[in-house]
Amino acid sequence: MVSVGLLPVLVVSLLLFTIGVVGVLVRRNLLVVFMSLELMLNAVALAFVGFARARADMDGQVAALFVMAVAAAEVAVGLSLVILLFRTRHTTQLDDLTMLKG
Amino acid sequence: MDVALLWTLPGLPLFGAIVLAIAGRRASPAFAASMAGGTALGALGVAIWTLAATLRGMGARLAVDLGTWFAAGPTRASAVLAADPLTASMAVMVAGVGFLILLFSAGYMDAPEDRPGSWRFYACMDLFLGSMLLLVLADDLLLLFVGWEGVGVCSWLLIGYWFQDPVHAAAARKAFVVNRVGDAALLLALALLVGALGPRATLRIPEMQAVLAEDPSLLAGSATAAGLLLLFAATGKSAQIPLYTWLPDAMVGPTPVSALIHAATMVTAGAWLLLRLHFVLALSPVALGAVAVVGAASALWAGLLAIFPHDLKRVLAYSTISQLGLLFLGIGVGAGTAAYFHLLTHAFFKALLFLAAGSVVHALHHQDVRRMGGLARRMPWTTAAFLVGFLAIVGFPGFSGFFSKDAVLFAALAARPTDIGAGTFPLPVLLCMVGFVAALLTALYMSRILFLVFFGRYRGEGRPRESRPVLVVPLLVLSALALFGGLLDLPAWIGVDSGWLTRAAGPHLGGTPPAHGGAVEAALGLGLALASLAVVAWAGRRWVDRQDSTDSVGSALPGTARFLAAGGRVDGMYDALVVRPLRGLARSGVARLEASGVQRAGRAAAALLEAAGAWNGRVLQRGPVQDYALGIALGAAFLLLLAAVS
Amino acid sequence: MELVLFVLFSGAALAAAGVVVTRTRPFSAAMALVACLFFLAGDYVILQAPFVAALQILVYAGAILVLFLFVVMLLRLEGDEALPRLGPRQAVGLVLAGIVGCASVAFAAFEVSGPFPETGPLFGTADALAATLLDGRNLLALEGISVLLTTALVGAVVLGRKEL
Repeated sequence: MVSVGLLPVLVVSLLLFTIGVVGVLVRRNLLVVFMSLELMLNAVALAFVGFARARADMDGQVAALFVMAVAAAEVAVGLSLVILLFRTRHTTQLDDLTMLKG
Repeated sequence: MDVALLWTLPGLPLFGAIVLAIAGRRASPAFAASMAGGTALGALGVAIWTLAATLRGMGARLAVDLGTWFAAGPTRASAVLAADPLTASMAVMVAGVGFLILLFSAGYMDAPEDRPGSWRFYACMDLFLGSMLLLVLADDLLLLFVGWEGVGVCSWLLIGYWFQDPVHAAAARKAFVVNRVGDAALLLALALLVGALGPRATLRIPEMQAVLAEDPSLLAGSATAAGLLLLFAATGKSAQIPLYTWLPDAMVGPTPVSALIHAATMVTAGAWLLLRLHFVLALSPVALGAVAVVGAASALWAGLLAIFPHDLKRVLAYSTISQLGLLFLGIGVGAGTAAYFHLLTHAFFKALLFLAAGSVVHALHHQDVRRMGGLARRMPWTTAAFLVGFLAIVGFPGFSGFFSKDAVLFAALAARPTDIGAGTFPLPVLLCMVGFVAALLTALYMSRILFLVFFGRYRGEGRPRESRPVLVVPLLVLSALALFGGLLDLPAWIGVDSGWLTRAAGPHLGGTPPAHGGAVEAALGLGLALASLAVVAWAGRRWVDRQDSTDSVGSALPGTARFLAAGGRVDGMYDALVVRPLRGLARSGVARLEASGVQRAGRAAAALLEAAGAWNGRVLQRGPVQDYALGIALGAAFLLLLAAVS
Repeated sequence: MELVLFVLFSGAALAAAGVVVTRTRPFSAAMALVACLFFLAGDYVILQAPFVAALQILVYAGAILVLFLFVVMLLRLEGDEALPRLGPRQAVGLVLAGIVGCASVAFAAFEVSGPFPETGPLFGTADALAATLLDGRNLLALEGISVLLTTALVGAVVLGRKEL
């Protein structure tokens, strides 16, 4: 039986993270950008779990748990911001949102 | 009770200070006074228990270790408080005098304009007591330094208590800055000691003593330097030449502050440092001699300066410098016990004198002796208390000052010249004579204010009345202490049970126990007392009922008198020699730097920023959020790359 | 066997992630995200983190995704977005991200290669996780997270009100 090893886990984590970055940078729909952010967070959590396994140390899993909690908080606030934005601007398209122009 | 209780000694007053600081203006004056007085009383109780515990097994040591503050290599700064009969008796003195003075303050700080802010006063007094007790009980030199700086800060806070007046603020600043000069020397001394001990370095006082006792050669090269640095540090806190100039100005603070901080306790911190580190001084005869010479010179010089001021408290301030000078003389000639004895008695009678003066100031609302006089009839209790303090400081036989002063002077006389680095020169005899003259000057200036303030006709306006009991009771207690304080260490020639303090605290003060000189010591003491009485009688003829006290004492030598009345023009000299050159250097240096470098660079930087800002606004900050996200991603990638490469 | 399962789950997760970022309809993206998170949970099980996997399904695939779907439906978002062409900015970012990612993986592989060590029977169980979580080292972070969640809750309520 072949054990997994840390390297494949890290490769998967990296690919997932990159896909997330692509989504954040490319997509114009705010909601999809959010989902891509979730992908990035999950990539990090996966890396944490992988490290926990490699070091036989539960601390990594605790960190993954923390990532999850932070993601929950972030989604709650972020989605209410999306709703607020939609209410005032009637759009979720990032191209239309250039209020940060300075 | 447990040894760990030792921590409540500094802890209780510090707790009170914190409570008062948090309560702020919500604390009524009564609450503030009770909080400060209560914590001081608690500390006094613990201090007395501690003293009793240390005395039970004569010389026993109580130590409580609260762990390591920090460790740097082999050197550990640990939070350790320790009590032996020496530190415990000092703690009893500090807490006791502190409590009495806080009691006095409750009556003194009752002016309507002071009442709302009185929490600040009591918080600072509590903080001071806590810091002072920390300084006294600290077993670790860095912990001692914490207390040392703490009392300095409180001194600054309290001298400038009425900081709305620029004069008060300036006096506080002066005290703070002059003290800093000494503090720097203390830090250097500590660094020198730790550095010289090398791998055996320690900051604990007993351990350092043990290491040095085992191998004195460790400090061979730097014993004199360390001793002189310690002396310089001590001159700052204890107001000795050359760093004494802050103390007379400090008298603008509230009188209880002057009594507690600038007479009885904080100014003894310098002497306390030298007493605790006597084993360092003992390694260098030159440093010991320097301590003795500085002490004798301060005693004489401050005695001369004390004859002229019209400000009642200023006279007492110079008198403090003079008495502490005698104390330093005692330390210098290796008579640690005699010096400590004088420290205790001085704390009693000087606190008494200051509080009696405070009672007068409270009744008259000014400090000018020219507008006083004849108060004996109007304020009998205060007068009686001041008289007891007067007799104690002048050294009337039987009063505390008589024994302690005599012990110091005799120790100076009995010292061997070689022990204080004087070779064959009879320096000890000379120092003893200087101390003798300083003691006579004490009789002179104290008589002057005694007669000007309490005898003759009243020259001020209004009808001053005796102070309220809350002011008088502390005076009476302190009177008893000033009267009977001598019993702590009666000399052998008295013939009754003698030398209690020598037996209890002496072993912790090093040096050889003074060979009690029998007839010589008695003759010295009684001769001094007789000479002082003659001076008092002469002064009484001169000053009782003088309308104008502008002091014809110096009419024979008007130039000298003016010189001394101006404080010896020392402030002006320091100003010219130290303050102005430094300030000029700073100003011209800053001006040149400004013109050449800073301004030009500033202009260039501003132009660059402007351009960058414009580019930022035009090109970068166009609004699309994802561009910003890309920026973040690039930055993160760069950092990651950096981490991977390195 | 383990490796085969891991490759299967990971490949599926990555494919689902690709779907997330390429669908024009937010609803499809959300459903793909659910799938991705499920497959990742499978990975967690293989990595001996069954409890984390359970929470992943409960919290992520359950609560968080429901939130997403709720917003999608609330706002009636339809496929109103054509996929944008990749501009030079994105290209630069992607290439750089790829390079750095590969470099760091190579770096990591250099440091940590070889099979996983043996673990005890309790590894990854809820008991062990709770013990680690309540360990003194993690306690402060745990409390911080609870404060964060409370703050987020309050913030979401405030932001969601009709008039701000």
